[in-house]
Amino acid sequence: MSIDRREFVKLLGAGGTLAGVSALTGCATEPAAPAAPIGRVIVIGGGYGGATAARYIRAWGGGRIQVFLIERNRQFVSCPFSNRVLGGSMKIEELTLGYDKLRALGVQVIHDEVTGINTAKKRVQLKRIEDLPYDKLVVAPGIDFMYDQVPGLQTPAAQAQILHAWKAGEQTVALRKQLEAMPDGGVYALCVPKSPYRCPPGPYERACQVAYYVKNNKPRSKVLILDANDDVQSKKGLFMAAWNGMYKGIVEYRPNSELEAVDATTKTARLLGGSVKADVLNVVPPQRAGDIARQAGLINVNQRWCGIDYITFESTGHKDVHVIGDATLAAPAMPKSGHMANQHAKIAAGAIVAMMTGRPVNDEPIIANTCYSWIDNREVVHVASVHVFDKTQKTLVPVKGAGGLSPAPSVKEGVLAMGWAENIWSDALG
Amino acid sequence: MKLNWGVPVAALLTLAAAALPAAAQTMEERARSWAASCAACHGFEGRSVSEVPALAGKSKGDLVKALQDFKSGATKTATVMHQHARGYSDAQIEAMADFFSKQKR
Repeated sequence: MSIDRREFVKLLGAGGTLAGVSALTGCATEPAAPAAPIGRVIVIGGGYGGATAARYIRAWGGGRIQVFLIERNRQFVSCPFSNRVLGGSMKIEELTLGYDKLRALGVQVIHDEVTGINTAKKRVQLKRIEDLPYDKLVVAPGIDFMYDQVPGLQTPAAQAQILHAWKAGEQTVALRKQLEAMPDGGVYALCVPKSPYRCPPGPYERACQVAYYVKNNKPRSKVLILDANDDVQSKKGLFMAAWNGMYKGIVEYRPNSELEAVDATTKTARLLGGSVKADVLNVVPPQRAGDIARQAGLINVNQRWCGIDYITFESTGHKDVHVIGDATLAAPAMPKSGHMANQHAKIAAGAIVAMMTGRPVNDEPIIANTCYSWIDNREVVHVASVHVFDKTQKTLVPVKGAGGLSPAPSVKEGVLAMGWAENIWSDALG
Repeated sequence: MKLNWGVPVAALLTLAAAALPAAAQTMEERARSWAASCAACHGFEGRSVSEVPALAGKSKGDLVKALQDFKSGATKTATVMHQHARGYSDAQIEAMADFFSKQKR
């Protein structure tokens, strides 16, 4: 259901106060006559983190906490597995889901753009409808790009030529089209920013997926990984084995290749050690917490990330504002990933519900991570870790002896990876 | 029509609740929080909608045994669960198994 300002006002007017707002969902399956409401949580951003937070706060609040989810896009598009669209073994439609089930669970999903957050008055400003007050706010904005660090890539025209495809959706489809238009014998070059960036294994999985596509369609082509880092950032042995095995002669890995500038018209990447001209140049720019976090003054670490308390995910700068997902300053060895955002969301949800109901917060949070990467159209590898709160270091740390990697790519893990996707999507979106 | 977008009435109740002395967290509350870490792969409250095994409504004993066998390495066919199980204490495994055994299938 789409709600423009006029309809929204009308709907609210019809019911008046909280009860009227609840009627918006029409088909709430939460308790029909909930006990006295105890407040409102607004969640900004409906990705892996935000959607999960909204769902869990609604569920754990027993229907007594009103939950608004503000998301500018009408549909959720999964970044995990979107590299398969580049490889050709998945369609973007298979990664695209709606918010209707979340609505049915009692979350009030509003498609609008947040234009500001007034943390002093505890109000969220929106583009299309009037300000909304909150008792607790969850900010899950993901990342935005630091284009100022990539000379030659600041203009919309340049950005339309040199894609990132690091937010799934239109860019993913457009990059696939560029690959389809690339001649046999062409060069695909992928620029990887210095860590930390969203999805540490993502660039290397992408190289595998593009290699899978060209191997079967344009076998004289090359896949060049121009990595600003001094080494592969995740699953190194497993990716190297693929590049030296099934993709030998196609993939070339070049560490210490920090990007200095691009020329969008000639598709040239100027690097520290020389220039590379590509047929398809794919630049993943350096990243920081999403724009709305910056605007609200939530970025307080290195001018890039949002500092948080790792027990509650509450901002270290602003009370009653919780930040989750890629926008947060990552704890040691904690990747920026959809799975991690899902886990952050539950820690934050538990803390928020506890704080709003006068219960103690769980001071022993546990976060588990499984991250699957697709080597080809069927074989998959994973990295896993478990993180617990360390009371001395006051941060989440990986449990020693737990976690690990796949021994080798397997079809069995391909089946489980698809199962992971279906379950995490339903965990977040209903 | 004038809208009432003011501070939710309930904010006052929240304040009242927050002012009460907090009792210790119950094991049920902790178990729910820990078990939520499993849901990303196994589905909300352990109700899987995919190839990944469901946990909801399984017997507590079976769940504890499965997790302990992953943890000890007795189960040789694991892809990832041996790596996860080693991240949880015996008490946490017990609490999570109890939680999932009480969820509807």
